[in-house]
Amino acid sequence: MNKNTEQQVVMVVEPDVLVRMVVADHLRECGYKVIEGVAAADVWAVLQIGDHIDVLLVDLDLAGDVDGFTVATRIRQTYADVDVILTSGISDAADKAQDLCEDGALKKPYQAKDVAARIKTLQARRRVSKNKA
Amino acid sequence: MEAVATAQQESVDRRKVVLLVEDEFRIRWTTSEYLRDAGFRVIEATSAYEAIEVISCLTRVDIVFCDVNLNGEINGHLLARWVAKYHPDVAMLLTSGDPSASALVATGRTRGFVPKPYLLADLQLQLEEMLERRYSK
Repeated sequence: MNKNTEQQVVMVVEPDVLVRMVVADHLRECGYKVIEGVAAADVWAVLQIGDHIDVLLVDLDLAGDVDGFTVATRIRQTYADVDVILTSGISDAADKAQDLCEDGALKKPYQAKDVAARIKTLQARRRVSKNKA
Repeated sequence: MEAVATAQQESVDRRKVVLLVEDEFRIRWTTSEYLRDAGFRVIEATSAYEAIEVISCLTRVDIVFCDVNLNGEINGHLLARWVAKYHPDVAMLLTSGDPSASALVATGRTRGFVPKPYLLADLQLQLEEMLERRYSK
């Protein structure tokens, strides 16, 4: 298949559901196919069955015993065709998702600060709902 | 201001919102991809706790599709009771490999059960039927 006409696949590995949801939604709106994971095992599950990942956006802190840095190191050694982007924190994740969107199939008028602001709004609601509970 | 902008973003998207709660990665991956291709907006949660966070923070979730057996302290039945109490307008479809689990699902136009294993096409149909019932008077 012609790679230029294929939908590019980004795997977002992020254990915080609100961050993962907003970043994944943003990337989908930019034209990417997005796979969502929370742990290193999820990445291996995709690669081991032979599915292709173009870009791996992985947070340093993951669910499970293996951190994002270890995942990035292993991927670079074993799957050299997968681009790995390590993220740390909301603003960093938003910035790097926005960088990807600049290259995406569809350009959306979002800015990285909008992605970060949306995550922070949802997290503020989470704190409010926790206080009510 | 941010909350207003967020609510506006959510209201512009007309796709039905399915909150998929499944702790098994492969099932969550394949099911969410299928449902997105079918035209739903799918939010993926890996536990009932995450599902509660999403429902509490988003302005709109139309239906929760949840496995009865989940990792963590809250299983699908408890999540269904929480949704019924705090968000009764949100529809709830439970699934389990144990058919007897269906006996614990409260009946009603916005409550349903689909046994595992299920065909993704059947799941799509059931979600669409439940959403139609939910929005019909």
